[in-house]
Amino acid sequence: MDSRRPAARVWAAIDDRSRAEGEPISLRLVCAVCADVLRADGVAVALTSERVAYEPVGASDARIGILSELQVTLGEGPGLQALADGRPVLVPDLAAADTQRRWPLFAPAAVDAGAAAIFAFPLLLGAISVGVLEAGRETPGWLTDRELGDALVFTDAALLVQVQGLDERGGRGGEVERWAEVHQATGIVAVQTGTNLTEALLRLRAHAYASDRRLIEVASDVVARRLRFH
Amino acid sequence: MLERRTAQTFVELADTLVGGFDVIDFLQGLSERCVELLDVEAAGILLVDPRSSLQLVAASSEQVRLLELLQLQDEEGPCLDCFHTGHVVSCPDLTAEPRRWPRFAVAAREAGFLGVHAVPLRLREQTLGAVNLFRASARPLGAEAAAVAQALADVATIGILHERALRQHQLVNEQLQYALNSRIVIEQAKGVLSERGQIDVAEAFNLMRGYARSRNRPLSAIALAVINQEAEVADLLAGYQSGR
Repeated sequence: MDSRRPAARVWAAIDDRSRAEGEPISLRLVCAVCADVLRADGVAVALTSERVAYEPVGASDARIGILSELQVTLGEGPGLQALADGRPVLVPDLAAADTQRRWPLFAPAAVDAGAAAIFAFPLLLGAISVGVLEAGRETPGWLTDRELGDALVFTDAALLVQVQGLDERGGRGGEVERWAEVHQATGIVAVQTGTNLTEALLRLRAHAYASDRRLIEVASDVVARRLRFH
Repeated sequence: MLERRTAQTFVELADTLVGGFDVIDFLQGLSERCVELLDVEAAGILLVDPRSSLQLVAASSEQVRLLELLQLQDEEGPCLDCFHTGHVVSCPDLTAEPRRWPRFAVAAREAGFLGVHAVPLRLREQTLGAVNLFRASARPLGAEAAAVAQALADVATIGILHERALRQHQLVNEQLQYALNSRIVIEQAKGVLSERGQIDVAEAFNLMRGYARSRNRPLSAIALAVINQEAEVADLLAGYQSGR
């Protein structure tokens, strides 16, 4: 594995922090490491569920937490936009006229709170939407290409912590999207059990865990119709 | 014959570049055109994502999809060599060079392929990915077909970079990120449809693709509609079953 690749670099930073703090990998830990690596003044994750569209959960510090709260209160902002559109929303200058027009309530309030730039990345696994990771800075400007690549790996990390569980080592790094069978099996199990994709993926994971098999093996059995869920 | 069909393909590709550009649809179409035009049995396309990892974005068949994924997992194979060097990598007979990519060669033969030809998606120093052509028989790709393959790859490269020139570089990465996620949506929808219709995932894919084409809609939009059971796709399986 090339250690210069963002995935390897980011995961090493997360593992190091986890060991140094003697704490398992959590959303809060991912946010804290992400803030350091991206030179962000704060990084936060908000989760989405059937009941709550946007629920702030982990934040690297209180200042970024304020930006999450503002979005909940005002009902608009980059994080909510990223969730609605299913794509990253990058805002290099919150004080810019077009940004102020885009979010007439949020943008001025965020600037008042000391924020200058905010970058929001949805935690998405195909049609499964888990939440959004947001990085805020007190100085305006774009992320560098390297920072953008790293931010996407941190987004994968937060997604894995939330959806797939880190016990599944094979799911690390850039491999999230290579598991075509897992995505296909998720769709099949959703129909078999009459549930949504999020639930179906949980059922698959639980089965893999209980039968002490790898998720990809269980998924292959589902796709080949050797295994059914009811 | 090749010339006329090729010209037609270039016109089609140029058409897709205008207006709503969907990277996944565009490259899926390209992989299928390669099979039609170049006397190869299958084609797959890999693209590097903003994380610098290679992703499979299009495949003309399910077998090729598996073979490409195997290369990505093992980090070994002609397509990866092609991407990393930025040059054409060709092996007309994998049995003649068993040690070049030991695991890939075995898997390719099991899938029924003997020859492979990989063309970079490259403009100057920047390599975006690779187009990979697979043949069932051990013959080199003719000079004309190789030239057409490179020309098709160049059009694809320009198509992707064209977006980059028009928009902020980081916005293109937003788009690419969206496109790669829509690839997962398509996989999930393949599963949903295959279980509803009791067909295999390859059939489910062909069904969605045909449906998207006949209605001139992006494949990813149809896939999402399948997952959400929207009215738009209510007749998707019905048409298939009655047409059998």
